[in-house]
Amino acid sequence: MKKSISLLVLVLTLLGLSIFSQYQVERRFEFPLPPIVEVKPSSFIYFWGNLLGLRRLSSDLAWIRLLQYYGTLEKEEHIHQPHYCERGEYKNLLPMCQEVVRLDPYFHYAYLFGSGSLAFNHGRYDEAIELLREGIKNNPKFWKFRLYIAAILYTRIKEYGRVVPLLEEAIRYTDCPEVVKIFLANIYKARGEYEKAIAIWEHILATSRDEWTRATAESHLQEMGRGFK
Amino acid sequence: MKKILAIVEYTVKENIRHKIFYTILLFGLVIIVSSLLFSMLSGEETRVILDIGLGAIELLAFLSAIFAAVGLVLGEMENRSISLILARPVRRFEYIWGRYVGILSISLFNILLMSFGLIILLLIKGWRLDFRFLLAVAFIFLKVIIISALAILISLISTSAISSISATFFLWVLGHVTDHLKYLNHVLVEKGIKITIFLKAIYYLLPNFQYFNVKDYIGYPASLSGTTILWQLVYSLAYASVATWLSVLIFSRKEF
Repeated sequence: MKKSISLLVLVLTLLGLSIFSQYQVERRFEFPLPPIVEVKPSSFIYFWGNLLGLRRLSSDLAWIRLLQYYGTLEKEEHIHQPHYCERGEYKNLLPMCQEVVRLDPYFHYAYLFGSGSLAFNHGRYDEAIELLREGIKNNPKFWKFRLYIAAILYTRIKEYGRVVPLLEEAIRYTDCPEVVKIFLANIYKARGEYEKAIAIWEHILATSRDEWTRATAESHLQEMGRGFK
Repeated sequence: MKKILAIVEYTVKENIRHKIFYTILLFGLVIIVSSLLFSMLSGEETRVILDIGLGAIELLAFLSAIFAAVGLVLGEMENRSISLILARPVRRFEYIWGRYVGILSISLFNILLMSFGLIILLLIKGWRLDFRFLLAVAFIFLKVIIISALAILISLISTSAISSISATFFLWVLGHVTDHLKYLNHVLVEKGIKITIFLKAIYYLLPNFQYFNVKDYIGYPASLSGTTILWQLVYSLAYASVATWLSVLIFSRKEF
């Protein structure tokens, strides 16, 4: 009996220490992700991912789903369209990007890719800026979002002279999405700066994993190669 | 102490003899390698390999801890082989602590081996080893420390392996949403329902695994301070000790 009581005292003491230490952790540390009920995930898989402590992995799955969606032709009639940006409307692009970044608000590449695609492929500048604003709110120190906002705003008012230096800076970074490089290459081409455009398309041809993008790069290179000669 | 170490050794050996140990280990390594495939789909290779790898390490360490706790302790009680051990000069607290530390040793071995495989894969992909990764792996082990203690406690209370595994799994899930109790409290207070004290009690009694979920906020810019990490360590050890001593209390009252 005495043994049991002393054990119970020990358990209660340790429980006190556990509660106290939990309180200390709580004071110093705030969980940096929004509650899953606020995110309202579109799939129960992401919800379960959160319940099992795999929130970032859920974000990755949502990201892969987004890429599958964006990499698939939306309409049959677009199959023969040669340009990267004319494959469809992809109305769900913004909500899907938002889901990815709400599951993991620190997924920088998702913001860059989503905003770049929305603005430079589809001309949906407001949606792109909405996504980037969310990015800035969650990652105030990540300055590239501001660079992208500036580039998008100048593109919107067709001030390409101001867009080019911003995008030239953006493509220097390894996390720059292909869509931004393609957009810059197209600006160069439109301005008659073929050498610069060729350099970008050659880089895309060498590094891209997307077959269609490589084919587009090849066709641009062939076209400019002829024009250049 | 010698007796505890003897039981630790016995537990490790017994675990290694189980096929499930190798199955889990092999499955973990297969998942880590197959993350290469998913990473190719994503364009963010190292991120996806890292996330799938850490997720697999955690889930499989959790599963191996559950199966070991339930299989060894409950199994031994069911087939009465426990009487053979307790017939020797082994005190009951030595048995429980020996079993517990043995299970942790096996889990630690699993975690380290899978982490090693993951690191190699990531290094091949040009990733640089950083402190956050090591912290994430260490914190996975802290989670396992807590859940193993709870698994042993539950296996002593429950009557079957299935109910024991289900209850432990349920606690694992609850432990990842304890932070949501604050949100629930906020919603209820807004609706005029005040059960704050009740919710707070649950909040402090349930394990809070989100504190240790570094792998989920590995990209979060603000790093954890040394003091916070220290308190997290104290919390996990204190919580696991509560569960283990409770197991000792329950086990010492059992008749075989």
